[in-house]
Amino acid sequence: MRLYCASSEETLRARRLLADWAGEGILTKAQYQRLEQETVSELRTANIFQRLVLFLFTLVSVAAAAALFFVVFLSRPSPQAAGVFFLIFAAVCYAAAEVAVSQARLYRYGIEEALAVCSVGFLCAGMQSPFFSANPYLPKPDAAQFLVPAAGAVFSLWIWHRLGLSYAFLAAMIFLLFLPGYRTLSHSAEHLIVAMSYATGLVGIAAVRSRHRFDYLEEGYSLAEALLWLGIYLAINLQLSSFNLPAQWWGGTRAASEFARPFYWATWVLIWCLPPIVLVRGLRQRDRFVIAVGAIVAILTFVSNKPYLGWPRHTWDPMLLGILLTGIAFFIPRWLAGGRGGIRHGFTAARLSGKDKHWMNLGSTVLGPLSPHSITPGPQTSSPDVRFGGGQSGGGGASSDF
Amino acid sequence: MFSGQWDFYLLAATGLFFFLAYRFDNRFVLSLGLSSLAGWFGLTISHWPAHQDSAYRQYALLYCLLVGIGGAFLQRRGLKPHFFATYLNIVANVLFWALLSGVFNRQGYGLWFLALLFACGASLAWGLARRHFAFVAYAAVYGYVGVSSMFLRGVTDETAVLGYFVVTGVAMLVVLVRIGRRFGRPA
Repeated sequence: MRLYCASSEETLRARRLLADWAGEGILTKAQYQRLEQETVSELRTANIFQRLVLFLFTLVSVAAAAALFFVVFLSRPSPQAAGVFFLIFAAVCYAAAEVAVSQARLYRYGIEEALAVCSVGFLCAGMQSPFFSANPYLPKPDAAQFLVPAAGAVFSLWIWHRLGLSYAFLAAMIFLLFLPGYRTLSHSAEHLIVAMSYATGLVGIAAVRSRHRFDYLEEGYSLAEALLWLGIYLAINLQLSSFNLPAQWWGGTRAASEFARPFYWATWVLIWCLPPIVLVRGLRQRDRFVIAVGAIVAILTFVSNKPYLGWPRHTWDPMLLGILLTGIAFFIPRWLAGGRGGIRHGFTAARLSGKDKHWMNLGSTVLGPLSPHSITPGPQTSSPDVRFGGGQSGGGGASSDF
Repeated sequence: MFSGQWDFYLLAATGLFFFLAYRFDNRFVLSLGLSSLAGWFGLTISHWPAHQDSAYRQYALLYCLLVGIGGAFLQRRGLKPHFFATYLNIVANVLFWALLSGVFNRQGYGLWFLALLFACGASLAWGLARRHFAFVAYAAVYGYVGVSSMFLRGVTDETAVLGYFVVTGVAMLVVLVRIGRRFGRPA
């Protein structure tokens, strides 16, 4: 069912591990070069920047081509005709993505990903346009519209399964968010249905991933599980998942009025219970993504506790949280390093792999240029051949090689 | 604490980020420090009575010059030389944004367009020479946006605009794939 054969993906995983280990000095250059020759894959990959740029230009080309088709051949199409053509575009894009993988052997190359993403977009547009946009005679148009996000979710899941793109799984989760809104008017029921759907997915993923503990699928399942934990948390945290979040937080009003009191306080209990559960699960599985989500939801619980209780927020609250997090960041590595051989319960603060460099590089590239906008208020009225990056951690993002 | 004095807050945050970045050898924190410094530049200008886009642009260029020279100086002195890529990365982004904002001007955009082309060429050459695709990507994306804005200036025909995006989009794909193939390492 998967578009790539297992051996190819396993080989690529081995190459990534080799690069990580060589980057951390675990392998010598000679060892790396010898092992690299033994792990040659026929798949064509791209580095993250090349991937992003190819993704962008594929998206531009496909969107412009579709729009050009409508302008040239269909000057004023009916919604039904437009929908049919959108569905045809979806099929063409998906077929092109399959061909790009099977013939050109593209793997996370940007082009096949953009084609797959376009196919999902065209599918949703194609279903929305003919069936619902211009049909005022449907007895319950809103109720029937749930087919659009349902189709989007199913197709995204298919692409995740077929191409292994983790963000397709995230897209499926987002599509799922829109499903309960068409079937129920109760906000509480919406939150409950979404959380239960994610929980069901979590059970399924947990059952499947145990069979892939040490193979190339492990990372994908790990990320999917982490996303599901995060989704469950966000669905039950009423302070974070409410639509008028800024007004609630800074205006002092509470989301409690929207929900029944028992439901509201039950979710408050749950947001305190979930972080330790996620953290324990991540620690037991030695799963970095799940541990990261456990840490994130723990911080979100601290952040949203005051709004939950209706207590006033103070300007120094973020400072206190920052001091607490800094203290934890200092304490944990020292505590781990204090164990025998720098290890406690199988965990060490020593770097064993350069895996996180990749994420830090990308993160600093994206967050670095963006951060002035997030922290600055509005204007006041008044080796030359083989490189593995440098430094201990982080990066400006410009250090990725081809 | 710094209520109403966001520029001091940003300057203090910049100092703290720089200290932490050099103390713990973390390029991510360094990029936050450089971004905070850029924010401080912007806020300082916003206090001026008649701040305009052109002033922002000039000070963005000044920021690029200062940070670029600072990064190069520290690299030459051997002080965390691997941080130089981070300095260059931030400088490239700020520079391209500043030049693009000049290209989008209704008048007097010619010089900015030439400067953008020059910067794109330099970024492309640097990326290819150092095998850092990020700089090739900057040249491709920022250059494409700037050149497209020049070509499509005053064009109102939908077919021509969409045809332009189809043709140039595919052309960019071909060029980028070729660059990746010629200079990239195999899978």
